[in-house]
Amino acid sequence: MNPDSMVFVAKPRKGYEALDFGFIMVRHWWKTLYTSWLVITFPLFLLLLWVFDGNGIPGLILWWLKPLFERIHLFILSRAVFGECPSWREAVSEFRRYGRTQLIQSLTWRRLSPTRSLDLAVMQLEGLKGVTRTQRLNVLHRDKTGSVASWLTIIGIHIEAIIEFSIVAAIVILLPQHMDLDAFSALEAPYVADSLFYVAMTLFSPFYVAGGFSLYLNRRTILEGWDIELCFRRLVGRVERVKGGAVLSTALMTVLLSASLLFSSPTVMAEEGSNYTTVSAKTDIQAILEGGDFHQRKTERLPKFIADWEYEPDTEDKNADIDIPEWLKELAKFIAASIETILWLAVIGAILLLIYRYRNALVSLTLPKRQQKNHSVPDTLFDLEISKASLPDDIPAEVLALWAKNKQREATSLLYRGTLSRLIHQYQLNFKQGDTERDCVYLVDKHTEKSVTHYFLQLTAAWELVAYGHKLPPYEEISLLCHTWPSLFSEILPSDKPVSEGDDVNA
Amino acid sequence: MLDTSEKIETPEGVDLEVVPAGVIVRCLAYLIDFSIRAVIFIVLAILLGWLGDLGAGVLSIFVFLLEWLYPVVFEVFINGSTPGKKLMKLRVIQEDGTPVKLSSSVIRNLLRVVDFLPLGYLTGMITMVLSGNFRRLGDMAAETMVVYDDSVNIYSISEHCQRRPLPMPFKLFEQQAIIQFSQRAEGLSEARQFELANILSPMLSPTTTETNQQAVDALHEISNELIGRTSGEQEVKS
Repeated sequence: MNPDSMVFVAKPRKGYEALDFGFIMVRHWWKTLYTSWLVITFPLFLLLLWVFDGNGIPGLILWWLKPLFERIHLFILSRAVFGECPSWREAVSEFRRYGRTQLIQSLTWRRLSPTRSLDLAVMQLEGLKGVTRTQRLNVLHRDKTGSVASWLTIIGIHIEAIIEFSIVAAIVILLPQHMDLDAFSALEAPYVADSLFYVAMTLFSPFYVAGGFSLYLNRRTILEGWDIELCFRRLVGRVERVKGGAVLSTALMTVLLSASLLFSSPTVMAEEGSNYTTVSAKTDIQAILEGGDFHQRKTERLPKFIADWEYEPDTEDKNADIDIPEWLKELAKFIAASIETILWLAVIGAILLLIYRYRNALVSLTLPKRQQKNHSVPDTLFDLEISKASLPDDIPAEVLALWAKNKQREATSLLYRGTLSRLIHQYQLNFKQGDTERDCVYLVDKHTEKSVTHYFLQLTAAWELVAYGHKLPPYEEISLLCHTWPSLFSEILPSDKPVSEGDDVNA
Repeated sequence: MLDTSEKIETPEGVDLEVVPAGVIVRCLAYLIDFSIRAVIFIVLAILLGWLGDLGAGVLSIFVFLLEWLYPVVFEVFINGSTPGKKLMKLRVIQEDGTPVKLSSSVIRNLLRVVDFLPLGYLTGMITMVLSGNFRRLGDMAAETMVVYDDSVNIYSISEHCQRRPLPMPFKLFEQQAIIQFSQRAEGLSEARQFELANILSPMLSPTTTETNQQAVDALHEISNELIGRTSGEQEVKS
């Protein structure tokens, strides 16, 4: 055995995971496994059917010979996992050799061993017998492996049975209504039971053997550290390669590889020139649309489901219930009535809950659009106080006064806040709490005329310069803004507007 | 390379390794769950049998709940495992490795009906074998899979507590192999330990020829260095 040639990832797996690996092996090599099995067993199956006239004995004989046939799978798998999967011809021609060893024991006292799948490897691959075999098996069965193998056998028996009955059930389900088939008498017909048994056995046997074999592989991986050996050998190889100037050669390889990729760029195939004109194509399309391809008439008949078990309330049974005491009946009626009430209440509750849950959606369906947006007006935007109460009445005058008092920052801030406030109250803009300056500009641009947008853009620039740039805008600019202010915004807001309660709080 | 484990790549580009659980172990888990449900059913049937038709009605409600809600409730609220799965150390997860969602659990358990056809979950077993990572139709529809819950092997640490620095930089899996050797050495036969250690011995100490035992000890010492074991831990162990 050479760990380098393994085509599977050797690592310690826990009990059932090792079993699953067997199923993966079958997925990979199923063609060879099933072919070899069929080539050897199918002729025998036919022969037995012919000899015994399909009276159940062929199935029994095949069942008894299973340990013999399972060696086919093991022969293939044991080579396949080390990268040399034999062809089915090899498996068949070698069968005479590996089929013979310890055949008597396999078919007599070891036939009913629940760990057959695991033990097979020890016999067939290691060729052990007698005491050494027993000792070896003891080691392999440890760490729950033996019990996993037993469960594989137990579940396997049931899976085979499920396959057999499923085939019958599938046939019964798919039969048309008027064909009456008694599944149980059909099973007793000659050849049927034998064939079912053979099919089930054929389908499941590779999984059984592979399961046992992968348990065996796993056990040996753990006991002998196959994965460690593989890794160590690769480590040594890598270190030697690094020492041996392998770096240069890999670099060279890369260059060559990329060069070859460059030259093999895909050639674009020229498309076949079409000789259609618009007119001719149209007539063609018309012709095709009118032709048989688009106007096929077909009569289809659909089977109609006829229930053969119409529900019949059995009237006779009404009083058949043995004497239940009157109070119990009353109690039952009471329970029934209360459950009914509870259920109705639950239904009503669920409807109310739904209405409550989607109340906003319902409101938006019924009310006109303007009113919904009458919700909260923010008192602050990016931490600036913009509620009406926090602002003086004559904003431009106040701004100029502040500027004169050398409080330029406060002046700009006031102008900006006042504008925002007027935009909210006079132009009905919906600034939200989390909006940034740019969001505000965007909103203003969308909802007001050009002059306001232009004004606001200028003001925002001035404000940003003060707030974030810590630089003063020229006095002329602020004064210009202050003087155009009254033409855009009303001096004093009409106080009958439905404004938020924020005013009272801030007052 | 054939392997049982599957890698799930997270959005952060990290590979999570999960091991999908196969047919046999899931059959066993199902049988355990089935037995639990059967016991509950029998007890309920005996108790409700006294109530006649009413009892039969209530019983059928309970059967319905048992059959359809039992797996869903356990999978969603108890870490993806029904009691049977818990005993077999299995867990249901989404394909992307996240815990199973309510909708997915409902889908995968409703589709048991399809997997059951024509009898005894044959469809489910066939699709499990054919799909790469042991998923039955319900799993495919719900984008879930059943995986082994613990795939960490815990070994005892060796008795040696000396440390030795690495002679050269090792790659991650090579370091892991040395640690594995040190931790699994107890389970290996002595001859095999020597054999394995001698693969690396000429590389680790090219000038001197080591005896077998020295080669093994060298690996233990490197392993101690890698796992950061200090000599003081020996008392803790003994």
